[in-house]
Amino acid sequence: MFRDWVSRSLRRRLLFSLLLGVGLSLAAFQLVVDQLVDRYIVHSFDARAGSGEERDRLLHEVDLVLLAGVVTVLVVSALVTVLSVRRGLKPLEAATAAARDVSVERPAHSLPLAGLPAEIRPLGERINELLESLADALERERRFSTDLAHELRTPLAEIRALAEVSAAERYGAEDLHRFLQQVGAAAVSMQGVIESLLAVARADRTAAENALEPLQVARAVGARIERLHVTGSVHSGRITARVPQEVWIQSDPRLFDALLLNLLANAVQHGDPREPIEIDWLRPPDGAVLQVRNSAPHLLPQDLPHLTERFWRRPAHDTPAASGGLGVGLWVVASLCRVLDLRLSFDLDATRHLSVRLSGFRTV
Amino acid sequence: MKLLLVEDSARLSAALVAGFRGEGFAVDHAADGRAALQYLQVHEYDVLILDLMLPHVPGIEVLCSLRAARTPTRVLVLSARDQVEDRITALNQGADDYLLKPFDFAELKARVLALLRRRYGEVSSKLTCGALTLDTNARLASSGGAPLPLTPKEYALLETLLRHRGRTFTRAALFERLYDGLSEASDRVIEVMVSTLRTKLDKAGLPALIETRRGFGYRVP
Repeated sequence: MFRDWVSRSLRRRLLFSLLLGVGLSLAAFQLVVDQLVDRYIVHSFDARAGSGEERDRLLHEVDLVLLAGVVTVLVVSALVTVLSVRRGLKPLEAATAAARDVSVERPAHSLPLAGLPAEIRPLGERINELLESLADALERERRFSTDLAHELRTPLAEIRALAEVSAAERYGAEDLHRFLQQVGAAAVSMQGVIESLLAVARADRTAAENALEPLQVARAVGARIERLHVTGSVHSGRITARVPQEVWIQSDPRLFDALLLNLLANAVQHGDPREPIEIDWLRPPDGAVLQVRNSAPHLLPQDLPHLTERFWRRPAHDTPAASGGLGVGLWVVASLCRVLDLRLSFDLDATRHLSVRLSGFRTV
Repeated sequence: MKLLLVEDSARLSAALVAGFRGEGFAVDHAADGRAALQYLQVHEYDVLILDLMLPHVPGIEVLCSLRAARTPTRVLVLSARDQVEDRITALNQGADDYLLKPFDFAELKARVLALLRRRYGEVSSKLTCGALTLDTNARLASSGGAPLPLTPKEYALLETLLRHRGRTFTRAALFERLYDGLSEASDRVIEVMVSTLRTKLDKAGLPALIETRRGFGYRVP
């Protein structure tokens, strides 16, 4: 309705302005013509016309001709004005129609800017930028909802099935204890999924750029390892970090921590629990690299391209039962790398050790 | 009644296997699509409970393969995929039912029982033979209205014989229907079970319900 009102109002104002201009021009034109007629033609008639009646008749005829001319000019001007206004308003009407199509369901519809007057064009460009941001935000929200719903369905089904089956009277205390442990593991799995997906949903490249601050990598890595120890996710001493204290980078601390969490959680979950997880800061000639290396006894070279696919799952018989088989960790890592503008690569060596490498850091 | 559960979540599988076994079903579990195909080549199942997102071979391929072999097994898809297109695809490929995770175990069981009835062309959940009545929903047996206490396996044996009245089952065939593929038991357990079942039926006033055809097996005439 607001857009309609703007359109109608603008159209009325333009028409009024143009008609007023044409009317004033015609009035001026008639005044000049009257002066000219008075000065040259009337004097000529006075000289040539025999009587006053003859002169009046001639003047009357001249007036009629002039009036017809004026009316013709007025009509033609009005038509030209209307056509010009319509032509001038066409880009605006197209933009209005496009704006009408913008909705929550179709947020990515940008306004057509071709043909817009130079004065209005910056406004259209700004609106398009806003529409693009809105579409991105809505898409992130939609993806988040879909991902969350999908990823939570399985652990929720696990909890419900375990609770309902264990409610049957035929199970003893030992069975019930086992069921409860599994319910707890499923809940932890759900928590991990929610936190990971939230990290991705909130990750925004512009926001990450704005949140850049100097970050001491050794400190960030040490703090993350400490939290993994505290929560009991990994036993003390399994993760070894060799990151020099003097290494500082520019990054978003919150997203960098989420990235480390998912990277290490993936190594803990899929690596051999008897083997160490090694974190190294490498300095190859083409830039600094943060490497996480862990054993991956069941991983095959052909699996590497699938590691960051959200729905890709490793063979269940290779997966620890407690993991629940929800492989979103490296997908989250890849998503966060995109936001933080980092490069992610994988390497599986002959000893079946997976090296996950992050590069492209902005070192300070 | 024999089920194949194809599900890659170890916790969910453990709960469902325990739940269905507790109801007297013989349940095999495959953790990926490839194992499911191997099970389907070796055994015949009444109902297949199939997840769609599986390692190695996707669930939908398992379904297509099953239908291509014209196997009469009923298929219930149990999936986290909530899009209408996924349901349409699964049903069009030959699934008989589609249940979204998370689900109520009682509802899953009811749907499995409904599929069993459809598999055997039954319109009622009651199987009767003289004074004996089996309520396949409640999985209860009664004789002349009085409850007949049976173990889940005894109930399953009786249900199998009643569902296929007149058909003779060998000991091995009954074992195949009542025990999962990884069972360590010998098929002689069927003899013992028939014996105990006959004793219970005798006490309930239903003598000679199960007939032994020497050299062939058992049947309910």
